[in-house]
Amino acid sequence: MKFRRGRTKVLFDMLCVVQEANGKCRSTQILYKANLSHKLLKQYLQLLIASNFLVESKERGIVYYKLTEEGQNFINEFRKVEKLATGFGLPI
Amino acid sequence: MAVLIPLWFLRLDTIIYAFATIITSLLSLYSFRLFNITFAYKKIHILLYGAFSLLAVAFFILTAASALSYADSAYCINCPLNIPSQTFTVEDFGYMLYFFFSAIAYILFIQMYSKVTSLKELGAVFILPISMLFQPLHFIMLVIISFVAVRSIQNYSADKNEFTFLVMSGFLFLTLYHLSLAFNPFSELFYAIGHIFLLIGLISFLIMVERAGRPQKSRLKKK
Repeated sequence: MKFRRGRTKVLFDMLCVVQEANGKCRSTQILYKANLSHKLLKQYLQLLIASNFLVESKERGIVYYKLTEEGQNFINEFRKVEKLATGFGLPI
Repeated sequence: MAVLIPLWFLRLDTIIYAFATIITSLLSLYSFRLFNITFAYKKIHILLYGAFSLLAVAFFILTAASALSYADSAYCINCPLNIPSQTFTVEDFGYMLYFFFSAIAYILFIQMYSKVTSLKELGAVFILPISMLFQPLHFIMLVIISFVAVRSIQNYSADKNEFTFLVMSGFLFLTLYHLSLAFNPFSELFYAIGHIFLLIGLISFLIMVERAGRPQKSRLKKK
């Protein structure tokens, strides 16, 4: 059964974008690759930083988002439980 | 509670119940991790966790009750075989508790699925032809678990992958377990067949948990 992408799945996709960019990328990259609106991007980035999954850093005036160890753990954990949810036909 | 057990199958059921306790506990742990990871703390995930936790408790009680009845029979020297005892024992209380907890667990599964789908199918499943020829408690369990099995078949037909297949197989064999035990008064062979079905269902769930734990590559679309 197909469901709309839930909040947790959106956060997971955002973290995956950062992970695939070698653990560091700009917000526009996250916006495009994770299919988000600008409003949602700002909201979810705040949540990921507050949860300590991403850290903000400035290099030559450009803001980058870096994946933390907690963020990496979240990605690994999500991949495991996503399969369980799929098996039971539950949205995540 | 009188059940017909083939002599060659004695004590094997206790081992299967112990195995069931371990598998359902493992599933309960995974369901908790699923609930814990979601930022929204979705109610359906807590229902899955609750259902597997109750099922683990139910199987633990069943393991204890089954082991106790074998321990009691070991001290029984002149007990007549094939004559069901009319006394309500601690073991009987254990079996009743097992039915109580597993019925609640199955109802939680139904509630979980009713949150992601309509309850139209439930009407078709809840036709309860009461017949005292069957083991009535297993018959009731069969009626309840049938809905979950039907829903897992629907999941598999909507999204054909190994995980939906393993869950469908797990629930189908759990249904067949109750179906076989409902027919136990007719032949002792149904008892052994039922437990083999239970074992296959549990192995399906175990394979699913093992595969879910394997590392997986990202499926994010590259732009």
